[in-house]
Amino acid sequence: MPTYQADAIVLRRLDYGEADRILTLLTREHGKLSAIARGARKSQARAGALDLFGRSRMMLAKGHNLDVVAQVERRGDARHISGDMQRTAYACLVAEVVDKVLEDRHPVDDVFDLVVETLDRLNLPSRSSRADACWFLMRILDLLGYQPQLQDCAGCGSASPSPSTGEGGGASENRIWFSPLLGGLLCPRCGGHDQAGSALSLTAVKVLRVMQAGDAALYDRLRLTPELLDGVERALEDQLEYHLDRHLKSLDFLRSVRG
Amino acid sequence: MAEIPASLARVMEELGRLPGIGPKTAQRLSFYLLRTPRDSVERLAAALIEVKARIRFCADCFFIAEAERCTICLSGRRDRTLLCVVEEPLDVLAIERTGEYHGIYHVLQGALSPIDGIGPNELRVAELLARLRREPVSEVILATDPDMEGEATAAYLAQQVGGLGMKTSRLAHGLPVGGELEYADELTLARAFSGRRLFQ
Repeated sequence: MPTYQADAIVLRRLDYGEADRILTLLTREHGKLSAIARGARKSQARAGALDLFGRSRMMLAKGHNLDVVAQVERRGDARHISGDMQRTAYACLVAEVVDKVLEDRHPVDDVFDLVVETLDRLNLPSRSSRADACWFLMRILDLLGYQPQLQDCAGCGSASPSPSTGEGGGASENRIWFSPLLGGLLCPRCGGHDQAGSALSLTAVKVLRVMQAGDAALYDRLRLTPELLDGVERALEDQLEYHLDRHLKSLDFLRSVRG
Repeated sequence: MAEIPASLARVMEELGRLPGIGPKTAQRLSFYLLRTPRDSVERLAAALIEVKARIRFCADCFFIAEAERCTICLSGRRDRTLLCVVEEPLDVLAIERTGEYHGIYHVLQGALSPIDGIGPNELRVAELLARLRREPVSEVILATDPDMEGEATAAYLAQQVGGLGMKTSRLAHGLPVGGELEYADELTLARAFSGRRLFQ
C-alpha cells in the first residue's frame, strides 16, 4: 500500500467497529481528510496523539475507501485545553468551523497554521479563550473571503456608518446595525430595512476593526469585557453562519453552559 | 442487474443502522443469517425482543436493570457514601470486574460533546445533582473517560458538585500495567509524574 506523510490535527473522532476510530484530520499538505485508526481505542501509546485536537506527524497508507493511520509521532499537546470545559468548547468551535468550511482534500492556504496558532493560544491558561476564539473567527472569515464590511455601509456604500439617532433606524442610540445578510455595518437608513441583523455598540465595532486590521498585539492589549465579547462574538458568528448556512453547535453549547 | 429482494434489503438496512456496522458488514451479516438454521435465527430474534421488553435503565443510577431499580442500587451491601460517575453502562461492568469498588454508581449516558451539541441537558446531570442532595454521599468519584470530552465532563461536574459540600475525586491517570515507559506518550508520562504516590 503506498504511504504518505502529513502534519495532522484531529478535528473529529467517530468510534468504529470493535476498537477502531474514524478520524477527521486537518493536514497541512492535503487539507481535510478522513482516515481510519485501527485499534485506536485500545492502543495506549497512540491515545494522546489521536485524541481531539491532538497534533502529530502521521504516516498514512492509501486505503480502498479510507486511508489508514500507520504511524503517529506526536507534535505538541493540548494539556491545558483538556480538563477545562470552556477551553475544550472553544477548541471544538475551531474544529467544527474548519470541518464545515473545508472541502475534503482541498487545502486552503494558511488555515492549518491558523488552527495550530489558535489551539496553542487556547492551551495557554493565562489567555482568554473567548477572545482567542473570536480572533480565530475573524481570521477564518478573512481566509475564506467573507470578511465583514466594517468601514462603509454594506447597503448603500455611504462612508463610515454612524450610530443611529434613534429615529427610524434599526439600531438604538450609540449602536450600529450589523447585517450578516449584506455582510457588514449599515447606515441608519439601510439598517431600518434589515430584520436579520443585530445592533452593535460602538466599542464592539472598534474591536472588530482592530481584529480586521490583523493587529494581534493591539487586540491582546484590549480590555474585553464579557458584554463586549457578546456583541463581537454574535456579529462574527452571524456572519459565519450566514455564509455556511449552518448552525454552530459548539456556540449553542457554550451559551447553554454560560447560562 | 440482479436486485436484492426487499426483505433481505430491509435486514441489511436495519443491521447497517447499528454502531460500527458499515454497508459491507451489514451485507455479510445478512447473508450469514440467510445460511443460518431457522431455529438459531428465531432464538436471536426472540432474544432481541426479550431484552428490549425486559431491560430498562435504573430509575436512580441509569445502569441497566430488569426492574425499576438495578441490582447495585437494591443491594444492601454497597457503600452508599461513595458514588462513582461513569459515562456508559459498560463502564460500570468494567469497574465491577476489578472487584475493588463497593460503592454505588451514576451513569451519565454519554459525555459532554460541544461539537455534537451534547450539553448537560442531554446527559443525566440534573438527576445526579438531585441524587447528591438527597442521598448520604460523602465522596463523588469522577470516572469519565480520560479523553478530551471525558475530561471536560469531569471538570464541569466537579464545578457543579463543588457547591454541595462533598469530596470530589478523579480517577488517577498514568501508565498502563504491563506497559513500557519508553512507549508512553509525553502527556500520560507527565500525568503519571504529577499523580505519583508514596510507597506505604
